[in-house]
Amino acid sequence: MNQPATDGSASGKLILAWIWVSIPLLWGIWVTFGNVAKLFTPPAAP
Amino acid sequence: MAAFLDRSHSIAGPGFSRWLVPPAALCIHLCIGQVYAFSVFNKPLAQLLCAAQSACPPATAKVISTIPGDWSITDLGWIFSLAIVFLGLSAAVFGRWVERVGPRMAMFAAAVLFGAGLIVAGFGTAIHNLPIVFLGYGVIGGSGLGIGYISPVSTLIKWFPDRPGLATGTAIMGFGGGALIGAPLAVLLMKHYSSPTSNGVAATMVTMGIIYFLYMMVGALIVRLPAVGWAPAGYVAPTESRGLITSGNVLVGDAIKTPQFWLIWAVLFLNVTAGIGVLGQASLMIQEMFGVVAAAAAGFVGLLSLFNMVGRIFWASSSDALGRKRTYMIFFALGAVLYAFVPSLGHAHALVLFILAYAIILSMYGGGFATVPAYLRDMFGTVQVGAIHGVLLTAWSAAGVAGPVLVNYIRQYQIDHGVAKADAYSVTMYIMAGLLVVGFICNWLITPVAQRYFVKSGTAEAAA
Repeated sequence: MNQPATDGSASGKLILAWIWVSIPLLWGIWVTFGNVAKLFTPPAAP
Repeated sequence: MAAFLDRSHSIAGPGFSRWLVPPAALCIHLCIGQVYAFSVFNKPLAQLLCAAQSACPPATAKVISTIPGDWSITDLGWIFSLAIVFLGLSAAVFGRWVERVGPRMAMFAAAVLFGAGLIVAGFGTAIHNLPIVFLGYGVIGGSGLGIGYISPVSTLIKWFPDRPGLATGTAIMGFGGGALIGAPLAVLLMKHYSSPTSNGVAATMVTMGIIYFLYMMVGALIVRLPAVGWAPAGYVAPTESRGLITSGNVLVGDAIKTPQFWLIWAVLFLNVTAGIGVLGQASLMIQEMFGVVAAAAAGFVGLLSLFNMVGRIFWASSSDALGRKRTYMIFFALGAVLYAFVPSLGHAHALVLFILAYAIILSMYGGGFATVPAYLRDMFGTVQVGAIHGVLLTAWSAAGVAGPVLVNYIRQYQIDHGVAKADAYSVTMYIMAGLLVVGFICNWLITPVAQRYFVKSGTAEAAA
């Protein structure tokens, strides 16, 4: 019983679902990159 | 409610996109992956009493609290360990139940347990009762972790028979990503709730319990099972076994009798042991070996978390083309070489190469988790792969205890015997390389499962 991957009615839900999971993940990656940048930043002179 | 959660009500109708199932799985894994970020609570939990009296030492002080009765970091370490142990135990015990009731009920149970676990831990924190925190996050939350971890795996494998590595890799990538979200979210909330007499950790746990419950419920709402006999367009299921990829099915009770299951158990155990111990020591290690400041060390840990996450999707999807056995051969061979070189890179003060080596090692640590469901599917078929995966996760629990103990013990032994702190990691790295060589041998010994363990097609359908 083969079935196409998606149809028109599913597309809206699909986009919403992927946005729902992407937002927190991208926020987490953004914050992490901020910390990673510190690794390559020379410490400020005392 | 019970009817909605029932397996029969979560069968997909015509036109349902299978690409909705990975985000459903991610809703669960992005939340439960918070366990990797639990250490962000350790210091605030160790300062509850001194915070209440506005008498905590400054951040630069060597002691965390001078108030008698404040919890020690050693005691608090048990919260994470308990959660990982209960993750493995609940995945093993409830694996067959998850297969029977379907992903929606399992995801709902995981959301309730994980959310309630955080709320109970928040309550235990508010009344300063450590056993309640152990019960909340370690036992209740840990059980939610185990059920949540396995709940989408077999569903994804059924939806993506053509790309099982990619599908399970996407979900398990979410577990790696959960730490990237959980740590800054906790910091943000603790800042919001803090007052002159509280560091806000109890309220933060309760809030996170509610947020995570609601977020996980979205996954339970959108997940669907494929109808019996469904296959993606253009996909033809193999009718004969090819190499390690079987066309038959082994039930969980029989799978655990095969040497192949225990070899894969050892493969996962050794891969995780080598990674988890070092992950816990990463911050301290780079500070002692290279003299970097704590903020930069946090950046190193963040980078490792990123590679841990990206490695899950990269290696698991690559394994669809490379083959699972070959993928693990790469993990163990490359991992052993990199671990063996790390001490030399430390002595040479080659910071960039050192970071790069660890980034690759951690990508393979994550890749090991994400590739193993597809490995099990190849060896034992799809019918009870979720339950088999559940039992296999006891390897993670064992490694969660063995890895940190091994690394901490070896390091302390060397320091006690006069080895400089910066050099104390060398022996540990060589031992890790040795563990990976053993893992290489275990993986190399894996052969197709004997025919006597496979069930007849009628029995397989009944067990599905």
